[in-house]
Amino acid sequence: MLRLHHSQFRFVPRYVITDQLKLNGSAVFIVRLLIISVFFLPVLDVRHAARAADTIARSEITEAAPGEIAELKEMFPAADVFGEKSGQRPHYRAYKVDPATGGLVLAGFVFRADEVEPDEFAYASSIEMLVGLTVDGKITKIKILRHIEPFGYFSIDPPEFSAQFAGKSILDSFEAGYDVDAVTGATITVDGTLRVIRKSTRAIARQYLREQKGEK
Amino acid sequence: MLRRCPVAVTALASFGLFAPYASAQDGAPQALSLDDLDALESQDSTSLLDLTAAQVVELIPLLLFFTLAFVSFFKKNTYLKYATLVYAVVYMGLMKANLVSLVHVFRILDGSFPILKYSMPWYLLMAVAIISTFLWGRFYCGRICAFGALTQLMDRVLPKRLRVEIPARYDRKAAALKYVILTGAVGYFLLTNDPYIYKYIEPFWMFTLSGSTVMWIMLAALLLLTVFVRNFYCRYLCSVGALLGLMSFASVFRIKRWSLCNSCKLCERACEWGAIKGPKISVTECVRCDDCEILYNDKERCAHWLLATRAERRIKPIPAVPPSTPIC
Repeated sequence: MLRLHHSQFRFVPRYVITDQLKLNGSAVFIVRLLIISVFFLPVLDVRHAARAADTIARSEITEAAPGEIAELKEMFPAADVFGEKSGQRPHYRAYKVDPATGGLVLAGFVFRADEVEPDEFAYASSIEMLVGLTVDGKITKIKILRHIEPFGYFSIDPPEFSAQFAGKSILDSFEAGYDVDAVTGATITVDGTLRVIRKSTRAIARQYLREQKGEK
Repeated sequence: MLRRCPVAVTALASFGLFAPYASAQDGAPQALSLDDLDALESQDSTSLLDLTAAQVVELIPLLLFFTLAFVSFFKKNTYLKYATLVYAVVYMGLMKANLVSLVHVFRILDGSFPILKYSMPWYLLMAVAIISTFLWGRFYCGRICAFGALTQLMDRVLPKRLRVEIPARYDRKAAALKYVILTGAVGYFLLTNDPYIYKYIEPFWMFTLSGSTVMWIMLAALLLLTVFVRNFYCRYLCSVGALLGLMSFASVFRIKRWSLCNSCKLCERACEWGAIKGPKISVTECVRCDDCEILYNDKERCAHWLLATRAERRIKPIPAVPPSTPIC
């Protein structure tokens, strides 16, 4: 460090503090280390705040009914615990158990797309389907439950169609022919299905992010 | 140590300034932000302008197709008609599988329709089909339906000696069969609410190239039959055609007839749809293929015109002799 004489400057550079306090040797070292570590405090702040917001005790949530767990686990295999269906946009919350604290960390959501977006309609019906979504905005899996689309048997029912959505980001455009493969001849059915997946996943993601922002 | 390495200390200190950002990037709880989602809001836009722009790629070829169909109809031009039929089979059929089907009839009965702003091409097709039927009768069957276009093209291509003509009285009885099928299908749907019966009653699914083995065998049998009895499905089996035929009773523009049509049989023999019975053209069978209308306007072939111009043709003007020619 440069040694500047106090008479040359009006202000007092911080290293002079150690001189004024008449510290020596290791004490000086420790004080300077403390001063520098002030820059690193925000790091601890972020990590600490994040953990505090996301880790909750198991007792704080109401778990989903045992009969539903099997299906929820199929939709979101990475999660250990599922909260019950709740919210104005009905959904189940999927939690992972944090090995360090034993508390639960939110991993994602499982919901019925037609319940989150009830006004959506394909060709002849609302498509009833389960969707799994991670907090990173990736779909884990979709499962089409029920519909009466006359042209569904060759367009959305085959497993190749649903398989495309595993790991898909909700920031994609969900357009047939671009990021999604679809057969022709059932345009309204396919477009309606893609639209309901896109809108419902983004609605749930927005709700979650706004919640997070509100907490912080 | 710190005193001797000012550079190292400054570097350490500056790293501290960047630390919060570094930690947020690796292994942080959320990589998604509201900004990412807000940036995509235009895609989730429901404004009519945005949605129309998104569907323009589907609407433009459809509008072009309808224009071609109407122009070929008004001009009574055979080449344009066949161009329309090819366009119908390739674009409306194989590429888009855009046909009016029993399923649509079921949906109308059900009262459930796709959302207009997302399905504009569908509504355009329905509007053209319904309006053209109330104006001209089964115009849809003759120009727009991809399956009808397919049978008409087969007609044109296949040799005439393969054709089997059904005698008139059987033809009329067989034509009533499609009304029976229509009533049966609608009744079945109203009772069971199962729309999937369409797979066994109509062949339009063939354009989606997806069907069970049983369906494909039934289709092969139908197409084979169509080679011998022309326009077999459209005349005797099509329930959509039956419905449009019933709607045609209310149609506005009919093909006009001359008084000579009472006894002349030219058009009746030329019609491949069994629609002409003496002086009357049956609106439920006529698909406005224009074969008779073209004959009608043909002054060399239509009996009425030949008779009407007979007087003029009998008195032929004697050509004047030029003065330079010697008369000897």
